[in-house]
Amino acid sequence: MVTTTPQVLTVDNLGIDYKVGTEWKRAVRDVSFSIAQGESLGLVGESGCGKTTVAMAIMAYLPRNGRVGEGSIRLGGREVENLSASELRQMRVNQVSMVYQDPGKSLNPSIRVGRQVADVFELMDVPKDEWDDRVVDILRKVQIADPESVVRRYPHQLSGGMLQRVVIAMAIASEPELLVLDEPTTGLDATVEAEVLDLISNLRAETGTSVLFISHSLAVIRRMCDRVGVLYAGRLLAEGPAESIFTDPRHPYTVGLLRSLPTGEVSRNEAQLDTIPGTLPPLGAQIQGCIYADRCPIAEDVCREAEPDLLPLEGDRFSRCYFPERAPDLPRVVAADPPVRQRSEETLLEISDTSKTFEQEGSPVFALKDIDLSIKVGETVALVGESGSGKSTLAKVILGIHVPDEGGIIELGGDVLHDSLHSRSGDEIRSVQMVFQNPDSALNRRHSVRRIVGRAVQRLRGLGRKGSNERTLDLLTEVRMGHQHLTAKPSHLSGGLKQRVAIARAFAGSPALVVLDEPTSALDVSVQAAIINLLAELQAEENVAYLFISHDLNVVRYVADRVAVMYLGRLMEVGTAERIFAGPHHPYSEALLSAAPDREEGTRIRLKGEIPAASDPPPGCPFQTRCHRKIGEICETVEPPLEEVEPGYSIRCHIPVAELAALQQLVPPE
Amino acid sequence: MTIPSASRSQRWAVLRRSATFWVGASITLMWVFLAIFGELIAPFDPLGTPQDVLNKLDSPSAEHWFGTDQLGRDVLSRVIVGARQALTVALAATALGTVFGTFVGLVVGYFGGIVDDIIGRILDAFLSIPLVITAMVALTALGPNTLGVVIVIGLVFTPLIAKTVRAAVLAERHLDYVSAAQLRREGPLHIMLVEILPNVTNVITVEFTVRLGYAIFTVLALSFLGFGVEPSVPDWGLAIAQHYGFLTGDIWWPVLFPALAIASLVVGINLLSDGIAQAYES
Repeated sequence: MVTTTPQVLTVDNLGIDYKVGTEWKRAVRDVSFSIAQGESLGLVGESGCGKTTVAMAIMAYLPRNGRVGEGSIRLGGREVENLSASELRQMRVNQVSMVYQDPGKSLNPSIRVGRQVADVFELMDVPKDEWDDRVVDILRKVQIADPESVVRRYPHQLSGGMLQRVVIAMAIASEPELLVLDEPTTGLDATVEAEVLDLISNLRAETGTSVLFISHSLAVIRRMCDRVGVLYAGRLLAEGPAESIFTDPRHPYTVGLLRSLPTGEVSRNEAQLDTIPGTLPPLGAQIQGCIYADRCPIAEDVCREAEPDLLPLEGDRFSRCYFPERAPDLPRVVAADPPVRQRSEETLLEISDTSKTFEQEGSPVFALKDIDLSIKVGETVALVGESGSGKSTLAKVILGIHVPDEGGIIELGGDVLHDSLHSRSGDEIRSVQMVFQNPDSALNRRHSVRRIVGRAVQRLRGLGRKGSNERTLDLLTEVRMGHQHLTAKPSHLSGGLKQRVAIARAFAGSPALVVLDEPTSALDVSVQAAIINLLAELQAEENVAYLFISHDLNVVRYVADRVAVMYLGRLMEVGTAERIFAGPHHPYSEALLSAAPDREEGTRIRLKGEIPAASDPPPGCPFQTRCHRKIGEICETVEPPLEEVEPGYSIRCHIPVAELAALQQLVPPE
Repeated sequence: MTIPSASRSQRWAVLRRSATFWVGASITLMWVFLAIFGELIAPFDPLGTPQDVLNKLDSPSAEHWFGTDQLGRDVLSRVIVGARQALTVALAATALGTVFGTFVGLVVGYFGGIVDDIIGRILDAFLSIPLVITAMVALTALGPNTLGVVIVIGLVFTPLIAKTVRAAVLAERHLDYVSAAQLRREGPLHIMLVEILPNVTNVITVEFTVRLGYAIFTVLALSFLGFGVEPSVPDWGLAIAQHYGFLTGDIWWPVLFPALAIASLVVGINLLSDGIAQAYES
């Protein structure tokens, strides 16, 4: 890669090892890239591909059991490996800054924010009397509205988005040549993510800092980066300009990744998602030939004999593949035909007038307010909303973990469901089950698959040991696993297999309704596709209804029959998926939709302020404090009812739908 | 990327390479061996014979490597056989404390809330009393006997172990597998013993070995103070108690060798537990 602009960072033939037990195993191999001044390079890849490891090596922050085993990292012309401790400190102060995924963990919880930001200026040898002004200036630069009050607060008093701004402020305070951002928006809500990404773009335009952006999200990388490197199992498989990597991919892995991603254009009733077969090779595996050959549908003998180099293609791109021209026509792994579903108009679950109030230090917290929602037999209803909107509380009320306030009624199949787990009958318990977000937490690490699923079969079906063995195996077959997995512990299974076990467990008693709490958000893109396909197949086979909680609107659009949008414990809008996504939208849904990273730039609606606390909801419409379409006093005084304005479509807004339709044709107001 | 945590076989690989572990294990196993087969190995009858009185307090010689004690009994033989008393009482006491402590820790950690508040404060109160003094008071009430020592040390260790187990249970309690068990309506006993317990055994194992070291010390301190053993039983603590008065007369061997035995066993067990803890952490 020969370029004329000066390179801020040059990584050459980098190999990084981790010590596992007593052995050093190579986690990253032969990675080379460079970042020119003002350029932004994205590293994208699934978990375990080594993206964070590369970033840590650049900062010389590898953990004790990691080492640079090979190659070189040159920052501003100097070899990072050769720097002394004081030179390294200087480098981290002046040349390169890093922003980590979890801002809450990069700030000290017991020191005021202002003092922590001032640390940066202290390290830069700025005279002490200038600190206060410069702290306020830099916080203003990251668009913190009221920096004078923020400096006096402690990290726990700030929201996640605000904390990430503070951390970014600290990172850019020294005007570094290179900014390393490691998943800076993962874990943030969509609207907050959009703001943080905008902020980073603006800062980059202003200062001309080079950026190394690390993310698992293809959409985020595409939006933020000039060039992209695709990492897989510690190898760079493709590199090139962001646009062409994503619109015209030339490596089978990139093609596979893009196909696994629900795009929002197709729904599960039209086509199954394509997936990538197989799993990531284990850390340090000795593989002859191309690292991806085992999972590649177009691999030939030559691919298994020798590893291809990162070969140049037209348009300043590189692909580690012998057949880059064949990649775009990769054969599908999964048949496109969706499973056939029988649809029903029969109501399965009916929630009426259900509220849930928690008590916190003597004052009430209104987690759910006046929820009316129904789910039909075999239907998928998606629950959408930002954190704190009450999605999980609603799920827990349905499951019987939380008891709703007096007056709330939940009916299942026409009969009133007992409100607490203890009072529910065996049949009620069996009928409503749940798949959790993170299978690592949801499966007992010390139990085998046989025991995990078998126990659920025994409890939920009332079967003995013998009968349960048979049913356990049936369930595993249903989730496309087999008896070879029976004795495995969760730690021996990949993330996707673990989630399959969790799904099998939820299906043990042939439930009528399964609550899926972000079932794919902890999984990689290719695994997510397989799990979504599986859920769709199971639904078709078992005619089970899903309550699908998710923050990923593309996933929701793909899987959901109907969508319910929640804000501050209330339903704001309920309708069929087509209706919700096509609009006219509730102003909040409109903002949510516009925040997705794959939306075109310039169409974003910026919400004012932050989600109010559920203990102190605003008077009138709960959304009025942030609404960009607020019409006046009525919004502040009268809470609009959730009204069915079209058959099967309800909305909670003072603005008539026809007017919303007219408004939303316009450019959103500033 | 997350750095893979070590599996059981990798943990064993770390243990195998750990000098700390091997030194600790060798010393401990040596004493365990001597505790079991002591009588067969001991060169003389540790309980002594009537003739022994003739050569009391002989200094170390080719015949009596560690010399003889005030009754003319072979110190080496009594040190070898004395391992049994120290190890059995300490092991039984630690096992008792670990079982009680684990159960209390599970209950307090799992139920939390008011149960935690009440039992937690009671445990704190117990923890604030010095260990040996508690044991002495209790043994004075019970009368000195081996079973009493086991029970008293076991009970004294219970709050210590319960605290550690409680902390580990708290970390597990909020994981979704516990919610999943509740969603299929498992009883609290099942959730505590079948779901949570297997996930906190690491902590319990390390705690057990650490406490074992303390228990040996406590057992011997009590026997030094005259609680727990009949005078004729070969016991390191008792041997020191009976002979430290002779130190002023330059008769050091009946004290030094039992003391070294205590030191080596306690150090050995501590090294062993360090090795195990490191393997779990790696």
